[in-house]
Amino acid sequence: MHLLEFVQITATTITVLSLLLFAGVVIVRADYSRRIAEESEFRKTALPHLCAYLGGQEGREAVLGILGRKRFPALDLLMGQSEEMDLESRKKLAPLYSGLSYTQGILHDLESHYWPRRLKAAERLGYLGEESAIPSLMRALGDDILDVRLAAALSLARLGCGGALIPIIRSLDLHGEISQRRIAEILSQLGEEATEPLLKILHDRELGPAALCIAIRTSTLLNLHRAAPVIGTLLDHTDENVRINAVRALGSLGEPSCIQKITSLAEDPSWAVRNAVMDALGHLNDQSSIPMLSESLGDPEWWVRYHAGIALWNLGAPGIEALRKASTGHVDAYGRDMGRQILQQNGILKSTEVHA
Amino acid sequence: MNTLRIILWLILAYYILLHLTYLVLMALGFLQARRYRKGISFAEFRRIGESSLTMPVSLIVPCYNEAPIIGITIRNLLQLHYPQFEIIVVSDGSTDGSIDVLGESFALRKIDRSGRRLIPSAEILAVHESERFPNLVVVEKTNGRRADAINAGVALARYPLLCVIDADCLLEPDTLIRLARPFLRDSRTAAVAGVVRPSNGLMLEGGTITDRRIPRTILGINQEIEYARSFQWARIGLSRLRSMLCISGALILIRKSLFVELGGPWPDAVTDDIEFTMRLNRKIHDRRNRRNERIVFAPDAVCYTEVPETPRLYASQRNRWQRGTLQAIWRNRGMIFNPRYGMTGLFGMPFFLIFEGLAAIVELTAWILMVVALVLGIATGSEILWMVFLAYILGVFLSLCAVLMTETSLLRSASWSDFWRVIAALLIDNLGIHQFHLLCRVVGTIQYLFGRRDLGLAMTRRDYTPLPV
Repeated sequence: MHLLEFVQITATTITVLSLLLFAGVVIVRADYSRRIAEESEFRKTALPHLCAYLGGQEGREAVLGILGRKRFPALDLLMGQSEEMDLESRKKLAPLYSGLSYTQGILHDLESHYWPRRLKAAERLGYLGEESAIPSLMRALGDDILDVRLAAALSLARLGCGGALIPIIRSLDLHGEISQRRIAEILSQLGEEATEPLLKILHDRELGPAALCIAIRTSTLLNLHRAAPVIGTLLDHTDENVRINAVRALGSLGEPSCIQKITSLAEDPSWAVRNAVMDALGHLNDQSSIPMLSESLGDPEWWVRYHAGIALWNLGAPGIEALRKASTGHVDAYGRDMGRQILQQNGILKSTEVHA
Repeated sequence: MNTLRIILWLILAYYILLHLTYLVLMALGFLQARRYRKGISFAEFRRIGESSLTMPVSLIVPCYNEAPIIGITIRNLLQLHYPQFEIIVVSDGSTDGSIDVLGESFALRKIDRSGRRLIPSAEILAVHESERFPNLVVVEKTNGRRADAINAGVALARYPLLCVIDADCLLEPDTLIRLARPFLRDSRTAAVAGVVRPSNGLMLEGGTITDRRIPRTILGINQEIEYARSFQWARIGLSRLRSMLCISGALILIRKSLFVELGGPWPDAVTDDIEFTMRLNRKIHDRRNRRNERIVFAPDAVCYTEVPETPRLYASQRNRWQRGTLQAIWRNRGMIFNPRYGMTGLFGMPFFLIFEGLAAIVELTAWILMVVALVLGIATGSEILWMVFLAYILGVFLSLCAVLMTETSLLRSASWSDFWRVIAALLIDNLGIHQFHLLCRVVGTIQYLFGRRDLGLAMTRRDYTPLPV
């Protein structure tokens, strides 16, 4: 093929494609503008009626008449409104959800082959408040896509389904600190419903370390003091993460009966555990731990030294006195340095330099 | 004679391949962004904003002689929706009274604060904190470069995530939440980049963005399209292929531990962000390091930065970018076609070298050859005109694709008049502006080869009327 011929064919083809594309861009923009304007208009119309209904000034049928014009934008509106409301007020939305008959369609979507549709369905079911959706959501905990499993777990928690706690923990047995914290946060929405299943799961010695960590974290978030004794038994678990989580939980729960056991982990081979111990002792406000904390100012790991110093500071006058002593007389040079650093940081000692 | 024709054919092939590659990257980017949007669950960002597990962020804002704009930037940052963050402004030896401006606006007082010097940097002269905003710290240091200022800021950063943004940048209120999302979802996330758009058309009120217009000048609108095409859609595509080798310094969220491990950005780099991103890729994609980490692009985390609207400043910026790109490629040349770095080595680095680093030289060669061919009678005037037209229409087609994708996203143009301005600008882009850009890059390449490593002209900032806090 000649150069000119090739260039002509290519340029003509791309010109035609560009013209089509240009027309496409204009149509897409016009369509988007129209849809956005329509949705905005719908929200503007529907929201005052919804507010009037929630305030008891308008009847259910009247609001349903307006919301029924655009069922799925209406669902988003209701879900958005629900996020703004407390648990008790949310119940007022239930007649609207049932009046718009979403459940069957959404349950159908939960079986879709397209995962974003399953995700949407799983999260929507949590808002509808229909207990009939629980079996389907339990099945969705086995979904291949993690996001769908998480959405199903959140919906089950929203529905207050305490019986789902153990299946959720088993289906979301994820490693990694953030994932575990995320699941614990979801489970904590179950509130008191979670107490018995949590205690049961903490006693289960067959359970993997990740699941135990999630259960411990959830207990902490729920401030579940009843779980403290069983969490105390996990301080000698073989898995480092379980030990770390147990120490942190006992520190947060402020469980004085476990101080001795926590202190015994001050020489744990893992620095992360030792670090958690110092942090927990800082919360527990136990003056008998001052000698051990002073000694830990000379730990080989910076974070352990730092948290030991912070814990001493948190103990008030006796701790500050221990820091003063350490800053001049600690056997370890790093210990003396950390003592000084904590005192300087809190304005007790003047630093001589602007930066280290 | 035949050799010249063969070279013309090769250049034509290069040109088509370049545009085709960009088209594929943009399409990939579009699909990736769509998948991302579908994966966001209802009220997810609200939950992240309220969650106790959302990791706190240290925002580092390096600034050098940014007195006209730094107050606006800080006000904008103070309004971010994020549970816990601190702002560390590092004045890199500013001589225009930036510290005084900050002092007056935010009631600064000198404090005795120190931190671990994790990365070496020039001397810190003083640290100030705001009496009104407890999460605002201002550091005064002797002049280094942008990278040096960032490295100094790291010493005072207390949180596990670092967000580096330029002093002229404005963020949408939920940008930080959107940037943090990948860290909460996947523990393998090493760094997250966001979308950077020109801020020249924005309307502000006390640091809050009230209207999102496009720039008014042709050069500004041209950059609006360029940012959408290359810095948004193509970059998402590149991130999908583990080849995002240039995260704009205007917006990056990264684990502090990794940032320190890399030794921070290189202070002698012409464009420290490009060089740092390449080193980041090198670290995490080197199979010997066995690091299962990833760099993520958040297509809805938006940052606005001021783009040059005068030819002089534009030329200086593009010249610097070109020199910076070549310097970064040369410094990390060991990655090119190296299977040890997986896709990054086999696709990303060669792509960056061939279609970014050398593009200007190839295109200039094409123009020269076309003239030579015409003079020698190897090609006819008609052939040359058709080739020029092909180059033009390929550029228009690619820009139209970018506009189409943008119009289906949250970043669509605010009004029909803005939309038509964009269309007009993309039609005239290849009738002078593109060639001017090419010239800047060619000059940059030559100057790089002759050892020029300075940062070029400083930007003159848009005049914002200072507003009381």
